Amino acid sequence: MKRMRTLVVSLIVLALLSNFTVLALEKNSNYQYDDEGNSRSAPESYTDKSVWRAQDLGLVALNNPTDLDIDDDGNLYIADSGNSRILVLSEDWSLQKQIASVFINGEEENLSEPQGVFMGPDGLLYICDTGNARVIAIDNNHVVQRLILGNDLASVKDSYEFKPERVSVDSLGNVYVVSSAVYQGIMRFSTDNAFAGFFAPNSVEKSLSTVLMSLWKKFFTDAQKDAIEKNLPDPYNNIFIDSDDFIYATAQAGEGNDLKKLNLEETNILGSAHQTSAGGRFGDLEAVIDDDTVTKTALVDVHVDEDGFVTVIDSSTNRVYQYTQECDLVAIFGGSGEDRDQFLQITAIEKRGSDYLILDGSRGSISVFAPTEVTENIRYALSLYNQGSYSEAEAYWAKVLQENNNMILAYRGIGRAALQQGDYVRAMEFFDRGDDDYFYSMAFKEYRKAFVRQNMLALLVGVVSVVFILIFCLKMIRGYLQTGRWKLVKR
Amino acid sequence: MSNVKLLIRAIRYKFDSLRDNRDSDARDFTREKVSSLFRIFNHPIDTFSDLKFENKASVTISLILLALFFLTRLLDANLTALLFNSGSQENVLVDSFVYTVGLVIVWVVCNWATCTLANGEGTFGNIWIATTYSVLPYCLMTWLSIGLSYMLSLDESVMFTTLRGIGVLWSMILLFLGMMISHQYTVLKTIVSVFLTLVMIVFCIFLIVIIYSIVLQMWDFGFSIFSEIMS
Repeated sequence: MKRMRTLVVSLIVLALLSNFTVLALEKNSNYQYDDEGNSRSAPESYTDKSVWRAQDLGLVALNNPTDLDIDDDGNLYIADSGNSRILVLSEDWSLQKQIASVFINGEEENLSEPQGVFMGPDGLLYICDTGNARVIAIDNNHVVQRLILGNDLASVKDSYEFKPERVSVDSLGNVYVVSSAVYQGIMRFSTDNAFAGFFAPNSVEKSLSTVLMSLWKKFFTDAQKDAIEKNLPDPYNNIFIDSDDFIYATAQAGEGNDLKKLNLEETNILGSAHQTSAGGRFGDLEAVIDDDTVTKTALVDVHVDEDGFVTVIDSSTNRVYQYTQECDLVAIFGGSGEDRDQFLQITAIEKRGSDYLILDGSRGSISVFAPTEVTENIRYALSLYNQGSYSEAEAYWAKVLQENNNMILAYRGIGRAALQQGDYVRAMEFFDRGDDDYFYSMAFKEYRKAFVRQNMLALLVGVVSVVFILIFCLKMIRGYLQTGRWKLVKR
Repeated sequence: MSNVKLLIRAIRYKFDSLRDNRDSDARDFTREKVSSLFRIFNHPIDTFSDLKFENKASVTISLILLALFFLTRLLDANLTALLFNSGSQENVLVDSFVYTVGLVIVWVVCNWATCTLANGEGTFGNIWIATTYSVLPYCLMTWLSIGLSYMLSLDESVMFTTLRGIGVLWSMILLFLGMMISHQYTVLKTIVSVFLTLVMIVFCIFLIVIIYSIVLQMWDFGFSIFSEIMS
């Protein structure tokens, strides 16, 4: 009987796990995902250029750094929380200044474990002074110009502790703060530094197990209810505000909640109707099963550049994933390990010029990744494509396909160019390979229209004769079945 | 080939012995029997009673229809135009076989098992004949829709799905009538019996899966002992 039970259990487990496939490719090779979410090998997308450490400048090594930011002049801000300082480096990696203390009302106060740093559009440097439970904005002379305290929050919840971890500011001066273990959403502070409410709370995950648990809870005592894990929405862990004031937010949450692009109405507008079937899922699509635990995607930072490319980092695989605004995958790079192009604990990402700067919190280093030729071609092609210049983009797509014939976007791009040029057969072929039903159908309709117009007479004659032959054959068969001889019978 | 002939003859013999023996016409594939297949479109109820009582049923035709059912499913997976062909191309052969032949066998066995207990008058042969004969509309409509899929764009996909839907619905209505007449049930009783059969099918599939995995594990066990001894 026991064997039977283990069998049934293992059957159920198998059925549940059959959704996942084990990553087929070697872990450290370059890959990307096709339309169905299967990994395919791909050429290197970003290559590591250099690695920077604080020791290079004769400084104390970074200790648990958590956040990066880059201002318009290319200066780099590092929140070195373990050393309670902010490092400011100019574009040539020389030290500009170290901020360890600030002036509040003329008095000098030390920073305590600052975890977030952001250069605001107003020229003030916003710092999450996490250990002191406040967010401050300082000017060039380290004088605090804005001070945000979590005082108002006591009215929301008694036992509330304000632990700001990431901060970002929109063009109007509203401050958005992600605080540790706050599941009600992103905290928004208005220009007068007052708490203006929670922004875009994540929804509670609804699954069979949560529904069953809520049923079970009806039979529990209060003590039991307190003891079990509460089913709360997943808290955000990082935010990014783009030049149009759209807020990108990441969370260690399930599908559809892990990366959001929020407008001012707090709705998620990431993706589009024509995205790939694997779209809307970020990070590794094939789960890696190690020691019976499934590695879940855990996004920790997001960066969106001026061309709209969304780059996220996943702390579970230590990889970087780049997407278009339509959630189509562009590049994957990085990985766990000791190599130069790998990370021990990927923590934050920023972009300077065309290079991505990636902070490794465990190693205390910043790696610089530059796009390879393929990736640059993809980016050129996509920006032309997004402007509607499909024919101009075609040459770049062709170059991409020479290097990487698994690139779905390239097939679609060439398909769009062919559609624009009126070459419908070629368009259909490329939309077939790019697995784009919508535009395949559009090309097919045009093709059908042209075909019917050209062969109108032949089609008409063909259809009529086929119908007559069919009727004749059926009547003959009926005659045979009724009389036993091959002849027509009249009713 | 001769093996197949022998098999068919053996099955035919078996069914002949099961069948009502009033008119012992030895030939299984006659003109009357073929015409009664086509009468199923305009006079389904009469046809099913003919199949049961008038010795119009043909095992050969039923096997041909079953093969057509399987073939239709295969054609559907392989020939439907790209826009309407969403299924994956892996294991098409096995999947098609399981979803046609396997399904018919499980349906007939389960229906026979439930309805003999519930005063159904249908023999195993009656149920088999009624079930296989009723797949014809599905096959025809699917062929039509496969042809149509080459001429339609996504905007007109409603025509494709409607045609499919009509085929499936028609076949299901025929199956329902076939069961009703085979067992000489009332409508209500047929509905209940169909429901019970479905429950039975779920149960059967569960048992099959369990037995399959037990056999697999025993094989694994035996094989590991074998390799242990041999190494």
